[in-house]
Amino acid sequence: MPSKTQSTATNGITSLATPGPATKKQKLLPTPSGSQSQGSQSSFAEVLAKIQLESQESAESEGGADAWERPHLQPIVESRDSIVFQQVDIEDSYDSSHAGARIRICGVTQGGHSVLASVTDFMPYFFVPAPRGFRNEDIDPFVHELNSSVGGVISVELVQKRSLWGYLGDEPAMFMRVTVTQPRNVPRVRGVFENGEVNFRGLFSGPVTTFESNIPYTLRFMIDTKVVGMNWIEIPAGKYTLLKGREKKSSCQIELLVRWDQFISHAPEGEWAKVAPLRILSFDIECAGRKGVFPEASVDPVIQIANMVTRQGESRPFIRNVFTLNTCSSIVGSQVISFTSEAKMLQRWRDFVEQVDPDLIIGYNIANFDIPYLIDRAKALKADQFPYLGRLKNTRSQVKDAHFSSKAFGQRDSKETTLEGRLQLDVLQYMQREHKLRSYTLNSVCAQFLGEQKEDVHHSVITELQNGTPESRRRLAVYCLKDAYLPQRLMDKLMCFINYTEMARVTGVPFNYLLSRGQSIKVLSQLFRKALDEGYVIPTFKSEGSDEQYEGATVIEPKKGYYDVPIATLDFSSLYPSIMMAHNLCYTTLLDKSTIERLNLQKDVDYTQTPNNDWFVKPSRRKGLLPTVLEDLISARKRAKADLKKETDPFKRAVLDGRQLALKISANSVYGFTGATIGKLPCLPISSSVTAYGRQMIEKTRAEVEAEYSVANGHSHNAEVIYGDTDSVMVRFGPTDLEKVMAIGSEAAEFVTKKFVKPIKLEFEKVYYPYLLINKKRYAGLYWTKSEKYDKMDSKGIETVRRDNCRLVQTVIETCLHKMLIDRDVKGAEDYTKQIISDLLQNKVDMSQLVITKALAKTDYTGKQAHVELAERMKQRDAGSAPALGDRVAYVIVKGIKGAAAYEKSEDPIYVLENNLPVDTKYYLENQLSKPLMRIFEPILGEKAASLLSGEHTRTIQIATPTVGGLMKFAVKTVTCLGCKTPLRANNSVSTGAICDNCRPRINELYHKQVTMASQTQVKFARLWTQCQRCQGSLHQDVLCTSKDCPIFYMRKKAQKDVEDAVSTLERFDNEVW
Amino acid sequence: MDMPLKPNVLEDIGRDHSLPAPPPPEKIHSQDDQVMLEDESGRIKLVGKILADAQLVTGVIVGVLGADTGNGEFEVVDLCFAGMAPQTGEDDEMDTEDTFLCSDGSTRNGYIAFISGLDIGSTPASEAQTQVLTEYLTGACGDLDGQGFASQISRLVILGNSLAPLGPIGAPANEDNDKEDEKPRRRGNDTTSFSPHPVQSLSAHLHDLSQSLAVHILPGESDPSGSILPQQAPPRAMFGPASSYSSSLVRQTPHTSVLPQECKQGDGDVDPSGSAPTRTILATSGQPLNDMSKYVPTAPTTRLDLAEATLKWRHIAPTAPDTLWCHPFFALDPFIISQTPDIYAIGCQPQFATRLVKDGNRRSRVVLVPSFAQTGILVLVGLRSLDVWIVRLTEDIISHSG
Repeated sequence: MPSKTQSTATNGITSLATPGPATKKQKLLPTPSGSQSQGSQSSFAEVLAKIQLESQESAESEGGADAWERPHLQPIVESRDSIVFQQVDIEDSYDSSHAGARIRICGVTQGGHSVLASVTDFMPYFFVPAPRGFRNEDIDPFVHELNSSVGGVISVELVQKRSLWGYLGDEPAMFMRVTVTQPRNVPRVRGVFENGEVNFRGLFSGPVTTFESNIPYTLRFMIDTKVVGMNWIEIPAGKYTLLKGREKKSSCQIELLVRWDQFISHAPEGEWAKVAPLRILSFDIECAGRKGVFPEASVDPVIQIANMVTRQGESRPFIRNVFTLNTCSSIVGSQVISFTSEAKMLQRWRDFVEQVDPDLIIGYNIANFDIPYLIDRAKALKADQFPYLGRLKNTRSQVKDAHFSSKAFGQRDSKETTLEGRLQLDVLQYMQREHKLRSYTLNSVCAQFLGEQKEDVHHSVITELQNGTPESRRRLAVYCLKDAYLPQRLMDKLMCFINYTEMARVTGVPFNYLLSRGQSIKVLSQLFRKALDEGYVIPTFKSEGSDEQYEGATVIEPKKGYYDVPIATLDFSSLYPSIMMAHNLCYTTLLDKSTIERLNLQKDVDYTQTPNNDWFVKPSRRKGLLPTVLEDLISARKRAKADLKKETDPFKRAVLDGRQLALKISANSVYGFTGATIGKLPCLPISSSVTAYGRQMIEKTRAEVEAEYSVANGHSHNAEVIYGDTDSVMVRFGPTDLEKVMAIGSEAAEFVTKKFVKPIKLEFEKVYYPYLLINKKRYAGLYWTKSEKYDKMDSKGIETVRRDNCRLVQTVIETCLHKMLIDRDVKGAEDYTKQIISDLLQNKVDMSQLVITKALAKTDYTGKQAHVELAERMKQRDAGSAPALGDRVAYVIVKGIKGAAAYEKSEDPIYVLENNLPVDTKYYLENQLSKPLMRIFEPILGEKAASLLSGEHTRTIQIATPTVGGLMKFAVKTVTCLGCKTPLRANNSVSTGAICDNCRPRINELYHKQVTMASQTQVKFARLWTQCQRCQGSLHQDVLCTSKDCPIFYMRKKAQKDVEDAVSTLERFDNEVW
Repeated sequence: MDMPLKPNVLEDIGRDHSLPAPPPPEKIHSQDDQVMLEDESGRIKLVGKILADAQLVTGVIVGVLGADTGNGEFEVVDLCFAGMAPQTGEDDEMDTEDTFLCSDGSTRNGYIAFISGLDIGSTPASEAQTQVLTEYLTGACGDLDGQGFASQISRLVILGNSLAPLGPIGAPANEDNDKEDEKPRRRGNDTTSFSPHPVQSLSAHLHDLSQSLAVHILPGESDPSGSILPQQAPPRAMFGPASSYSSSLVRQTPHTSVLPQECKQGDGDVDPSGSAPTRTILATSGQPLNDMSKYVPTAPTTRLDLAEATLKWRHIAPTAPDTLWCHPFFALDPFIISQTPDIYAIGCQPQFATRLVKDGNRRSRVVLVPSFAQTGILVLVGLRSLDVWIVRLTEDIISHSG
């Protein structure tokens, strides 16, 4: 690099570099992501350099070029060495060479060696109730009978089990365990039973419900062997067969065969809670698109692929490189690998992946874009060796369309590429699933979680950079590397991987399920495990969506208003799980009328009747399975939290924290599972009883609190419950003293808890003071847990995360709430709102505050939409710069013909700036601002609130004069005097001057005014521009960024135009007579 | 340089809108600063002990001696700057365009006077002080010695801030132009608060002065001129009758002029040995130095050191456009010092200071000129000897010191 710098004195200098110490420092430093400050926007090239500095590598291994291979493996002796590894991926595999199905487990040892264990001899099975009169002697003929009709059955065995569904007495029933050869035989054999086609000695009459026949083979295996997602597996010495040489089917270092019952699965507790040094590859590709078209794999080349490989537990990537098409100048701290042929580059990248052998592949939108694009591109280039990205040597990676539909997460279409043996975590999908955000672009996600703006280079600019010089390609490469690093940083910051690992461990499902499957599989996995322990079998229901609704949680009608006294909040901790535990609500305890009569059960002695009029037996007769599951979860969470308090190691803390979070989520999702009518095992009596109990308890709490804390009982005030929702009630106890209210609050919580069945517990957690109650599920308040200082400002339901809102709404609402709640200055909030409205009407609000963005997802929207219409119009103006499919379209609403719909009035913000189009301030006031404003002001001002939107401050209106449009074609532009706006003509001024003759005495003043204005705009622009330069990390190059999500992008554009205007006006003074 | 404390627009925007912005810090250096070397090809981080003492600011052109450690950083052993630029000898070409015109047949040619921060319009007192100045320079006051001294002043260079800022009366001149001040914008619309008086008053003084000596006026931070560098000269017509004197010139900031010493040997010349050398003068209104001083801790580095450093860096305003706003230039950089000036005058400084900077046979007289309104100091530089005198003018006392 020195040769590239502006060095004047580097000639003849011998290297002063001290060779890096052989031992690499691997300390857990706080990642740069830890800094929330927006101020530390160091350039990315610097970050790369810093990474290398801290990893103390020698010059030859820039970017970790010498660390691709996994650590060398010492020879293994089957009879001596046991193999211990953390499994990451479990899949079923079929191979023609052996008859049965196998389970393939991929994992990594503590030493960082990759392992593939093929598990043999695990046969899928399911249960069928044995018909009355079926005896042991009937088994063989029955198997024969089945095999002759459908085939694939290995054995049938009679076992004693109980059905999960309903309480029918304590005696176990007889079930047949039907074992089949192949997982795919399960549905076939099951079908015979379900369709009533079994005709064995007339024992079966009609359709038979099967049990546990709809569970995936891998999950079945995991349940039976007590393997949970991401746990450690030990294969003792002598119990396995190593595969060597040509027997090996994978690129793993250790490949072995083991019988399914010959290994030990360690529960993820204590020592086994650790995480192996998994290799995590984070990558990003750049394509050279054509103008106006979103890149298509068949045409547009992949030009760069940037990679970051990190070992789990380390804070810095140890491999940083970028594959580039065409030459590229070197980048400090990263390896640059250049190619002249795209196919060769792709091929080399594939080899790189195989060599580095990542266990987890992450990126931003890799599932839907990067991976499919690479595979499609390789196909277009006929690089046939490319799509072998998994660990199996002979398995092509194929892109499949996946449809994901879940009640909790909505519907999504996506692509799915299975890379055998490797996990994938698309950070975009994670974000969409776990966080509700205004925008999911990488830029805005980074701004949100890392506190940084990211340079956003439009794909048309990418092509220009690619076609430029090695320097411009270097620039692109730095950008690409940054995009590859950000997902890793986001993952570290949000602890995605650790939290998901713990979720997999707690719920027992493979890691891959967490992103690709819904909630119910997680509960189902736990239920199956528990059922196996307790001797239950779970019936298979045909999933049929029913629209049956049940009454949800109750809401105590809010007493809307602004409360300037402390409001205590009493919460039921984990309300729904505690109800299920307290009342023993479960599938196994559900009773029906006939059973009650048959067994002669006594109400309140043997069973309870829920407020929903369902019956469940008491724990004294039978303890439910779900309550047991929940108890385990909750006690495990308590343990994890206790351990968390003691633990000092930051990494172990993260694991424990992830675990307690996973346990909490799991406990809460059990209720939802029973109510999911489209799910695997819906049971409305349980879910509606839970909510019914919940409603009852909220009401009871209200009654108890209001009765106890009253003047009649010797208290200073009558307590009043002003609002209650699902699991909490807000109480106004009366006193204005915060400490006193806190004391009463905790006392009241204890008092009420005593009135309920264990383990239901009412907790006093926080006080809102002041509190603004707007409506059901909409409120805001200052949140206090201790009386010295408030914790935060909390608001529910009024966050304006809706994307079709402009930023202005968010700013105004946030500022108003801040003024009201923290400054206690309602008047100030009013004034501020009026000021903003006045600014809006006078066109003084910054454009970036008014921009609305939406993704152009598809071409044929049914209804007309603003952004689609705009994209169409932009295409007509200039097809090159128009947004393409997949782009985000930013628009503002401008004034249009009277009665025009909003979608006709959308316009490109840049176009608006350039042509001085008038913004439809009325639209912003009425359609954007008014509703949220009314919502927060009405409880305070009541009727008067409407005065905010009309009145004195709305009288002054300024409308920009457009330079395009119908009428403007006929308009003649005249220059007006800067003093009095009189049109300047030959007879009242000097030619191309600034002022009219009448204003000439004021020329000094007017000049001053103009100069001041011009210099302000100049300074403003200069500030914005240098900020953008700093963000891109180079003061030498032009700013390319066109990030529509960046708050200063439009500001910069506007400032640029303002400067031009102000300076050109100023220049008119040059011609003036003084 | 990467400095966490640099003013950051994003932070301003991201900050809670309901809280008033904290005042911009006086200094922006901190422990976390990093030094980068950059050219068109990219950046490299510089490390090394030497950097801590080097007092670098953003934008300095520097050669570094050292080696790439392979860790993505560059260990610096030594730093090398351009050093002082060549100096015009007698045989050098002169930029005729910038040559001063001879105002009249005057024989006074011994001194050049520098002043800055007249601050007309701030307080009535400053007005009186300016009156004394005018009288002194035109020889209308003082004792005979003083008059004799004054009579040898051939020209006056006003280094910025001639007019008080267009703020509320008596408000201190805003040292930092970083602060985005919204108030003046509103005031701009308010026509009634504007008083034409300061400009007229300044014009009157200029008129008086121009009758007896050449006057150059450079716009400064508070003057009615764009605030980004190079500051354009306000239309000279603004100054009314004074503008009719060809000796009175309105200049842009920064400004270099080559001054051919007038031919005749003046009587009582301080340096009789001189053989009429040309003198180049580089004058700025101080914004670059004010900005740079934010980058370095006050204690070891004085402003004088920084001013000297700019000569060695051969660049007046390295921090532009990072923290100092300037016009964009593509082909040439107007702030590069291609010739070492004989006199390097920097206006609007908190204190008077001077030093003769030498580098081989190149030398330059650096003068930091404080605000006249606050200190009453007028700085005189002997054109032959480059010696410096200061004249302290208050309303009634005139004191000289060499």
